[in-house]
Amino acid sequence: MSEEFEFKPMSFPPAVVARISPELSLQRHLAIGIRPNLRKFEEFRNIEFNDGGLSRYGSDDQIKNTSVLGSSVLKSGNTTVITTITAGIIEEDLPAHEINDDAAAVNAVFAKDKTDDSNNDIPKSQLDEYESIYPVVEVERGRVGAPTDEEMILSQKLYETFLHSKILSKDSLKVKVGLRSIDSQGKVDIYYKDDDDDSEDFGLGPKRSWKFVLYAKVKVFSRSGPLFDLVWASVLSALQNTKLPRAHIDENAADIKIPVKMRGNHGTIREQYQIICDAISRDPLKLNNEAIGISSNFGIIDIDEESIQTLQNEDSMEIDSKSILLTDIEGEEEEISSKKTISIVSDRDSKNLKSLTIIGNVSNDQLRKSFELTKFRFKHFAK
Amino acid sequence: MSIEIPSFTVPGQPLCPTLQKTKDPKLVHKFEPGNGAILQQVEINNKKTSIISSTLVGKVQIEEILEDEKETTDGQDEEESKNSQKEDNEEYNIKKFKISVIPNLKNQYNEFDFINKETTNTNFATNLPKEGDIVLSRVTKLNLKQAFVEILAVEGSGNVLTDSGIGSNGHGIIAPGGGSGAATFSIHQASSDLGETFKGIIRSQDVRSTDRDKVKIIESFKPGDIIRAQILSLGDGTNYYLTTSRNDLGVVYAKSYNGAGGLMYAIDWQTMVCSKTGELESRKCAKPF
Amino acid sequence: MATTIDRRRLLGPANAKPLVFAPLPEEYQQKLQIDASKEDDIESQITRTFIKSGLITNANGSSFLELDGNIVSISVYGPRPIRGSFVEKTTLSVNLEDNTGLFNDLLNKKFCQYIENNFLSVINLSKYPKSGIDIFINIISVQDIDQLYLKLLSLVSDATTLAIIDAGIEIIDLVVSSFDYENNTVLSYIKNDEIVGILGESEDSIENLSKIIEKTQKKSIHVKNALTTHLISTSQ
Repeated sequence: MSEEFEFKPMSFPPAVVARISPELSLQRHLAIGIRPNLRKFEEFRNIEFNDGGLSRYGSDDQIKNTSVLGSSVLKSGNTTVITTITAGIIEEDLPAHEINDDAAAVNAVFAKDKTDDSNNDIPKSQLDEYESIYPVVEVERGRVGAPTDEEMILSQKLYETFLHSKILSKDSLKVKVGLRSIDSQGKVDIYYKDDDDDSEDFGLGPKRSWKFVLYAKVKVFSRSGPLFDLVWASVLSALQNTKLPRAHIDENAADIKIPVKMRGNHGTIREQYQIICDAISRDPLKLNNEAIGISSNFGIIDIDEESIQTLQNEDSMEIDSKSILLTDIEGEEEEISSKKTISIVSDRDSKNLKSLTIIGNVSNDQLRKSFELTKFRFKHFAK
Repeated sequence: MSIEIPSFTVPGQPLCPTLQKTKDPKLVHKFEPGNGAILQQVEINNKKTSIISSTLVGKVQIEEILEDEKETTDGQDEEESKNSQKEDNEEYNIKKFKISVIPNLKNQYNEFDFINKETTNTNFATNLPKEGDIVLSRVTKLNLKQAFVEILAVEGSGNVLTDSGIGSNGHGIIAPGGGSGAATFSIHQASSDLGETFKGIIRSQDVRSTDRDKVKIIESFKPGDIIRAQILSLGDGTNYYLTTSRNDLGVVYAKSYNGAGGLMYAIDWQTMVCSKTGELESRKCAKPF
Repeated sequence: MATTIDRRRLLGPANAKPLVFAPLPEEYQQKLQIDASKEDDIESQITRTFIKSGLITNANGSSFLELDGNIVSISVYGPRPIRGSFVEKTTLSVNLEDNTGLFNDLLNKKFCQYIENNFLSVINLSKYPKSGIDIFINIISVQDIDQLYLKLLSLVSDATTLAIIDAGIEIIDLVVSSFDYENNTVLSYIKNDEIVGILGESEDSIENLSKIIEKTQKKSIHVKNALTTHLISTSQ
């Protein structure tokens, strides 16, 4: 190679080279021992979060008029992730005989061929005891319209990983329904049944139960690389400060049976209860803290001998292996060139694996190394 | 009385009147707005005057517009040097200045001091390609008559668009309007389908300056090549018109076998060689210096 | 209930109902009550305001503004290429994204329209042929959506000015907005006395117009000084 040809590709500023040929730019950076974002190969970005004060139950006893129950503002590098947790209420599907005295009669009319299944004690899978949240991830990119594939994949992965991490048990989402009553003086009283209160139901209460459904709205600003790690951390930190309101049934909606007529058959359905959330009293959301861990991602870059040859010899560093493991992928160059990736989600003490995604031909050594780094990272994270 | 021109401005700040008297009764300074400045009509004491005001945040730069063979002087020192020149002008004289505001934005070419300073004077806040600019572009598709390219960077000011179409917005798994199918797009295909890059066309007659009617596009460019080209015109709604008919314009970066092979180097103006295999491919190459 | 199912988002079970909160007891409402004199004191408002430009790196320009529980983030994309036929001037579009769930469609439209009108007259459109400028407004937190939404609008407008400047887009002057609580009116000015936008939603705001203008103009001069100081101190 003669001098004049080496001269040419060097005549563009680094940012322009990165745009023209991201792979070449990355290879040259790696050859001199740094990453384009100036981090070390095995260095994670710092993650900072706070609650952002977006929640209804903010600080100093001030209640805001919003339905946001928990929030988190996360910053890592240039990227900012804002998560807000909101909730809905849904009536739980209970076996008919538990709710309805005349269930048998109703079933006889509406579900003739359905046998009473209350005795079939099918062992429930463990997963049945846990709930997930419904996340909607939006990555700000100056565009409107339908969600992108990335946003859909992130949301789905969040949902599934959360469920399988067994962080949120079904019990913790139960609505503790209280009853509101107005006495003769017009004074309003609301009775809640506390956890430690073993007294019987008020007797007036319905035999129905309700549960909360949690929604997470995740907004990402300044995306600079794969997002799952940040989104995961953000949602978990928002859930940790989430508080669920106490709720009571509106007295006006009494236990009414409405006769209905359907295809010539007669039956009754029940009035839907209007559930009102208390303006002030709330309980913190119970999470299975042991299951809350961190997520890390790794990329593996194969060294391209030829690209390095374009460097001046004195700049290049001796790299013994043919491929390099990079932690916490950031930037266009790294993301495009990382054809092999590992993504690890672990629990609190990094003992158990909650999720593992491997793409491409990853060697055992690299996998082992990335586990070690995850554990190491967690030790620092916990401090 | 002479009005002092501010050295640093914010949008809306008046810079100077279009015409300004000087100490020398025979000399009048005339100002014209350049980048980051605009001519405006204002009313002062019920009298309409035109002034030049700033439209950007940045440093004010005053350049003399030279006519004929007048001596060149450098931008910022203009104010001082004109005093000495004044004595030489015997008649009533108009001196023209271009007044512009140079934003403090990071310029990728300024940070990289390899390029000489002259080209960086065209520095423009948003790097929109304009007529006469030298740009770096990537070939996206070819047909018999023309090559389609997307503009990646403007020489002298840096990359076009901070988000490179899809770059920092995610790639590979992102779809143009959402939905599926995006994963099957290659990176540059996706970005050009998104309508997020500035696109251009190099017609076969604009590839080189000699034997223009014998040019074969397929022997000049291949998809994926990076081409240094000059903007001929703003073109139509979608495409800029580009030309490579100069020695220093043409392919600057290419890989052999349509991108599957290794890096190639120009050995003359129409041949490139792959450093790995020694394979020759034909291209319209740019002179490497 | 919507008849079409959104298969692209995980929206949870369809029969879930949103939370209905009981009204706040009086002692809490008093804390939230608006103090008119506090709303009029623009100087102390300015000192309470937090502004930062350029936080969003993949936008051309951005700004972040926080005041009294209002948090907005504006990002400006462009000038960027548009498809279709040749246009001599750039086109401007404004989108508002609400993260609080408090905005209805009408309010959303109102905000977008107001910002678009303000800036159409100020941006040097002919500098940017065959391209478009997109302004994205993100509302992260709102102080009081019922009574102080126009205050929020004035903040959005000021933040947009900063975001556009951060993007390096040429504008003929800073657009400064000020809000009058008494008459629930927001006005936007350029060059100290030219009005580029006005939105009043109280019953007698027209009768009081000259009074409102006088009041907001005074405020806007303070805002302009603050913006200018901010711009100069952050750019040098």
